[in-house]
Amino acid sequence: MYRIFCESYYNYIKNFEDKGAKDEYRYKIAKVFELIVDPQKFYKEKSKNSETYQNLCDLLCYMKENIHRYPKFKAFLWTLESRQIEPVYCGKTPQNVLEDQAKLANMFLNLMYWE
Amino acid sequence: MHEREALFNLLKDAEKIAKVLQIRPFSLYLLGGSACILGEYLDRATRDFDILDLNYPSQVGKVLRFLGDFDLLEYESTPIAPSFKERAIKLEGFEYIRVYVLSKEDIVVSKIIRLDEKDIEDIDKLMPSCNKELINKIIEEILSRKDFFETKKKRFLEKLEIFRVKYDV
Repeated sequence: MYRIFCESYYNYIKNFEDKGAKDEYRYKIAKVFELIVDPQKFYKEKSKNSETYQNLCDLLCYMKENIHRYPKFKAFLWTLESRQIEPVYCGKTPQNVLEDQAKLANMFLNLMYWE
Repeated sequence: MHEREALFNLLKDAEKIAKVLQIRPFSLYLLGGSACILGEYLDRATRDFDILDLNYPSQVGKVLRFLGDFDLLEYESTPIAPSFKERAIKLEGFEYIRVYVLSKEDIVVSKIIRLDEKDIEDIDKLMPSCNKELINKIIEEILSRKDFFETKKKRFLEKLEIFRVKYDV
C-alpha cells in the first residue's frame, strides 16, 4: 500500500495547494506524511529530532495501537518498517490531531484519494 | 455461506464492475488466507484478500474497493520468489479479469517471515502436501533478490532458521 499511500498523499495535498488553502487544518495535519512519502526527509528530520519527526513517531505509535480499528495499518506499517520508519513514542502530539491524522491515513489506504 | 463461495462471489462482483466501467482487464495474484481458501488448500474463515501489487493504475482501485477488506502487498517488502507466476494457479470462472492463487509452496514461504501462531497453524496443515525441494528453491530465489528490503531479508533469515528446524527443510 506504500506506493498508493504516496500517490494519494500528493493528490490530497494538490487539492489544497491548487486552491491556495495552505492555512486549512486538514492541509496542516497532512504535512506530517511528507516524512513517509520521502524517506530521505524522514532520516534528515530524525537526525534533528524535529517536531515533525516527533509528530510522525507519535502517529505511528497511534496507528500501531489502533490496528484493530483500522486493519489496513498492519500491512502499511510493515512497508514503513522496511524503510526503517518505525513507531517511537514521543508523547508530543495531541490526541485529537492523532485521531484525525489516522483517519486521513486510513482514507488513503482505502483508496479514497487514489484517482 | 461457505467461505470459498463468499470469496469467489466477491471476486465475481469485482469482475462485473471492471467490465461495466470498461477498466482494462488485469490479473490478480492472491496469497494469504484468501488464496488458501480459493485454492482449496485450507478451509478456514477469512474475508480479506492479500493481493500482490503489480503496479496497478488507479482505475483498478475502483474495482478493488468492491472486495471490501483487502491489502495490496508491496513486492519489495514481501518474501516472494521472482518465479511465482510460473507456479500460480489460475482460478476458473472468470472471463474478464484473471485471478490466480499462489502455489502452496510460495504461500508457505511467504509466511516464514512472520511465523506467528496463525501462520504456524496454516503451515502445519500445508506442509504435508508441499514439495520441500521446491520450497528450498523458492527460499534461495528470495535470498538472491536485490529488490527485497534488507530489513525484511534480515527478519526472513532469522525466522528461516526456526522454520528449517521445525519442518526439517
